[in-house]
Amino acid sequence: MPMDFLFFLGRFHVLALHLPIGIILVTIALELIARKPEYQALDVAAPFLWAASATTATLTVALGYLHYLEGGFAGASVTLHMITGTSVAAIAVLAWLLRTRMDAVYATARNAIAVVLVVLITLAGHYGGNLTHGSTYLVEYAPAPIRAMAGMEPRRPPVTELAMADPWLDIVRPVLRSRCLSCHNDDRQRGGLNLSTYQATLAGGETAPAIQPGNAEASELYYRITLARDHESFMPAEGKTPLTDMQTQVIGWWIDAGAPVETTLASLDISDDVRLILANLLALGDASVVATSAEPVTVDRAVMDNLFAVGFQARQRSVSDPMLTVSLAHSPAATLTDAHLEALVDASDHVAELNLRQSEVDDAHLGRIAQLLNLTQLSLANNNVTDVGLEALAGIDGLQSLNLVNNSGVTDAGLASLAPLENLNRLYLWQTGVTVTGVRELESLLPDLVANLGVVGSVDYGEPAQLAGTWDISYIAGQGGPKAAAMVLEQDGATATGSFDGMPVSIAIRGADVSFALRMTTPFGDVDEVVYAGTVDGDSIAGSALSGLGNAPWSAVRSGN
Amino acid sequence: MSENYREFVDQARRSFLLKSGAGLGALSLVDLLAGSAIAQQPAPRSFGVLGAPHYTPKAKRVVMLHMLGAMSHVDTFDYKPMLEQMHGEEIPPSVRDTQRISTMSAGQSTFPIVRPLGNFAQHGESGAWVSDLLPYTSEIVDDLCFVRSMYTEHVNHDPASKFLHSGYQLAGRPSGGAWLSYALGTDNHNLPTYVVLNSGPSGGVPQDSAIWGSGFLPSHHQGVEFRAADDPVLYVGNPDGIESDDRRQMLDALQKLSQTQYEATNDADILSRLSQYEMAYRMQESVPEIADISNEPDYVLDMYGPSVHEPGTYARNCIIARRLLERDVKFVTHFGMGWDHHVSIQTDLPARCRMVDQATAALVKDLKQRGLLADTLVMFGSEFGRTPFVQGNINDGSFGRDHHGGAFTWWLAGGGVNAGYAHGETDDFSYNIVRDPVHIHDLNATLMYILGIDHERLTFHFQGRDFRLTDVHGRVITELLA
Repeated sequence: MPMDFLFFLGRFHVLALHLPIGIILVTIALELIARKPEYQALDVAAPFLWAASATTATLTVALGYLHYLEGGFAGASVTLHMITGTSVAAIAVLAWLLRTRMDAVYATARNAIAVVLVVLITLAGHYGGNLTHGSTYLVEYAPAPIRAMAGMEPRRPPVTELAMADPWLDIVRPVLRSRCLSCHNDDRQRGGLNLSTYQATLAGGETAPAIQPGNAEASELYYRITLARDHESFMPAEGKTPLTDMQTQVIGWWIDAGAPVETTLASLDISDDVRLILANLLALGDASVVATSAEPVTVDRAVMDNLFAVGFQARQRSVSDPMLTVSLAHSPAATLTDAHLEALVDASDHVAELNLRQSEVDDAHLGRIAQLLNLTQLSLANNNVTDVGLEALAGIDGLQSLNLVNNSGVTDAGLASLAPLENLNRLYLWQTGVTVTGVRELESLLPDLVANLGVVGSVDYGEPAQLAGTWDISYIAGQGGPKAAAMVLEQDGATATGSFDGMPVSIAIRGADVSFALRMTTPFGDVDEVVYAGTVDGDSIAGSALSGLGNAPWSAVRSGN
Repeated sequence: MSENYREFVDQARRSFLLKSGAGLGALSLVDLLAGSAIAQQPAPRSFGVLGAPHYTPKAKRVVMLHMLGAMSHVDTFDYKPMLEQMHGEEIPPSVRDTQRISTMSAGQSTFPIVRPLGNFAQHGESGAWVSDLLPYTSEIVDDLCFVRSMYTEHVNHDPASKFLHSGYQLAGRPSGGAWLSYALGTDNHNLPTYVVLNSGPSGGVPQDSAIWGSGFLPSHHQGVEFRAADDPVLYVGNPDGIESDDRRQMLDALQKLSQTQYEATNDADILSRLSQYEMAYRMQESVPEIADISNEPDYVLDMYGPSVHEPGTYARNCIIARRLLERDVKFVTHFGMGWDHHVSIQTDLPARCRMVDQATAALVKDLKQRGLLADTLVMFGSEFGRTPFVQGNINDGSFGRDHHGGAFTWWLAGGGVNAGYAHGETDDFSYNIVRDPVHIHDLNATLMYILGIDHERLTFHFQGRDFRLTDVHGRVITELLA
């Protein structure tokens, strides 16, 4: 691709430009010094240096033009840079010609040439710098009067209180400035993107709008900064410092919050997590987070008293959250009764989380539990709920988490009745009759739902091997060699118990595989576990024992029944 | 002592006790009859000194799996190909620099690098690097949040462990579990708020009850150690010939006597002790129930591995931990010991990994399928890490690795945790942190935040100053939060 090759060359502009600057300044300085009689000998080098100045300046201009062709540059800075830069090259060539061909003319014009060149190099350099770093780069940390002269707004005072921070001016813009603006500014808009103002940021670049307010995942800007760092499209581009995790978190939050502007954090609804991230970003310390949280609130004492009176444990979720988390699970009388249900319904304005684990809950109870319309989390694990009862729960709109573990009467049919629960995102179904098919169906209706069917279920290991009897065993005890001893066992189903060289042992039998652990004194005088595994073959067992010192074989042969 | 001053002290204690829930012992004991079938008896209340958490908690309980003795992060979680390439070569002095190392290897004249003992591979959707010494942990990486840039100032076990648990290197400060009990009280009055489990051999690594002590907080906040036996808590059971009713009568009588004594002396320790008697009485029923795993189906037991059948093993303690958490015990610390591999690391570390790997992963999976992982914080790590270079002679098979506090790995899982994320980075030698360092105080600050507590505002005034778990340090590491 010839154009690609030209662009490749063009990028050497930023390297090459330093040569003419240096050489021209050296040439001017040399000629100045050579005016003194004792340094007059230096003057013979001037024609060569002018030749070098003219050549490198011309080359730089050519490369600069190739760089410009690549695109992404716009605005006054680029025009002025081109004019001043080209002028430098032209005057350098002129100076070289005059010096070598018309020395007399040169002698009269050399002061003017020197002054004009220095001024033009300064200007070209400044405009070029604006293109690379953004036009506000130079005066970013300048004293206020100079900033004002440069037409810049005054620096914002540092944020001392989180609530007063402006989400765009104090939080997002500084991040963009430090990481993005050098390539995406008024003058230089790589990919057509300019991030110097709120409006320009929203407008986006060539690929897509940079920001979709309210949806970070769909926003090109957020997508680019969260890609894998070695991804081709990752931003900032290779060689530039990537955003920190905290900075990406903040950008994500800001977009999700609808890209708020011209407001303060006080008027936004912000979670404690985000508060903490923002406080860290602004170096305010953790304590300021609490200070800006909502005012403390207290739940009506009578509500709490009623719940406790019937045996519930209730707890306010936080000092600024009047909602309650309520549990019956560990009450001495964990059997749900009418009195419990009445107390719950009376407190329904306040109950957000309810744990009725192992409280003999059945379908008849769920009608009244369904009146707890503020519930977000409900655990009914280890109860007698069935498909019939689940229908009642479909009206608890805000329900996010539902635990139905170990309710064997819940099946795919009942699961379907949970479809109206649009906010449901966690559902626990281990040890129920629900199948993968039922889960898939519900997940297709509720895209945010993550249902958990559990990782283990009943396994058929086959007939357990028969271990009852007396065995001659050989195993490694302590640091010595194999020791001969006796193992005496009785068997009950898949468990054999008895003694192993005098130590009590309980062996789990899974088909022909057996395993057990013993706690033994180590050669160093500690007690440590040794895990024995083996396979039974008729009247013999062979296997290995794992101790803290590695593996060792063990074996057993049945010597009597 | 002047009468006025006495009154003042007594009042201060009373109000403190009421707030902290230590007034439990002063409740009518009849109400607290354990196991009594009286329907709708009122539940005792204990909200801790805070009344309610500072923030809405992301997790309601914690299990900290402390691999005491210091698991080698170099061989398990922090993959560095450079260590393979430079096996046997001297670690560059610029890497080791002037960092303090333990006296056990400080005298060595040479510090050759030892390659990682396992083979590393990426696992899960998150692509986390884990050694094949931990095949079961590899299966759950998408539920884990790795912190690869932990560091501590300490190079010896005892100060490092106390620092991890209590934020201070010497005995006498309350541990995190005690702070939590003090702050938030309890959700289950029949079990201690803070339980400690021990498994594995100490191998000479010091460990004592000061690690789970209550320091200057009222003594009923200290961790209660469960032993490897059918009666896991000492002195809770009745002596032969004493029935439960007898014990009840004895306690009632003792309570009356103590009340009289308290009225005369106003000694707050009397109330603390009474509450412990009562707790012990309730634990006569609740603890055997926790320890009895006979109702766990075989397929659940098999998840934890074969040693689950033997009391006191790491696997058994993991399932006990799950049973405790299921019953809303707030803080469980499980010490898996036997990691101090100064010698023979080539045989001993892989063996120790096999002993904990399956049960650790099973605990996470089991909590998850029960719906408990969403509001339980699981933490796994050591008081420090181990050196990438050898301790002893690399040419003789019995070499080991020495202590290293400058960088090591922890993982977190569960409530509020950014699962599938790896935080921080070490250099090519797994020796120095190059990105996002996390101090022990930061880990504790984050732990407290996840439980709804602002670590800067949970203080206790003692000997003229306010103390915190994180002293005057600690920053909540927000990147670790979901």
